[in-house]
Amino acid sequence: MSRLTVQHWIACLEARVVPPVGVNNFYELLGVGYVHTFAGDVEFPAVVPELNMFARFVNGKGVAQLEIEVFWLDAPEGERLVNYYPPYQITFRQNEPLRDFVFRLANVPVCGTGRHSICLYRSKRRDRVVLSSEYFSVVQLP
Amino acid sequence: MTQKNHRPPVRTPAVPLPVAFDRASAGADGVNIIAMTPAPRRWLHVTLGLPVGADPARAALAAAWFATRLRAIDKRLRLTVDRQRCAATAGELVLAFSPLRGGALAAEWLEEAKPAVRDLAVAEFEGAEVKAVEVISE
Repeated sequence: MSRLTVQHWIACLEARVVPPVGVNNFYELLGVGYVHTFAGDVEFPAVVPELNMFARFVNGKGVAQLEIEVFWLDAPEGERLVNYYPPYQITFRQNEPLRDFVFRLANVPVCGTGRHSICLYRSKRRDRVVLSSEYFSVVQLP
Repeated sequence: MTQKNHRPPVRTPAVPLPVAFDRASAGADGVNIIAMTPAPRRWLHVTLGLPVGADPARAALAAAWFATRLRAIDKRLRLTVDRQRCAATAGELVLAFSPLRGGALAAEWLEEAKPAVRDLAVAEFEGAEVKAVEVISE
């Protein structure tokens, strides 16, 4: 039995849909990169005003509930949850197991420099499964 | 048959696909891009009333031991001390713990853990009054 998997999970600063729109669209992903640079005079916590997450789902069937969490991996205490996005339901049509989605995260908090991860989960009744993780790093100019 | 016919065709630069859309595709974006709204975060706050003349060193040791043992109460939550939200005023100590997981399930687990956290606080902070064990949502 095939399970829902994520082939791509990409963070970018801007995403656009290429019209004419339909069920399966073309997307333009702009500003794909690992390092986010902040000016030297920025005081943390700061925010990334907008982060778009492009996801390509494979083996989709029926409906799926998805959650997103953002972690600061280099927090002083080790790992810190900085933002949580509650379950969002997506639907796969019959005979269409592959679909693209873009999730727009506004004002993503950044508590300090270092590595961050954006985890995508599939929620189940009393549990959840990690589908994919994307990483970015925050550096501050001297 | 001549050799000429076997020559590969001259390569021509690829013609870019016509871009049949305006850059400002905000209308289409609104339909096809899912705007996610963050859920409020939750913390577990433990408020303790310390007796007058309590030894600060003993209180610090008790707090350290309490924070360590708290993780064992519910390993799913992975509670860690949130330094920014902790406070110590005259006779009162507020310890704040943040879970490493969000969502309704984590909120449920936090509520379930409250009685055990209260019992642990009573056991660790001898002579102190456990004023409140509450889940704060912001």
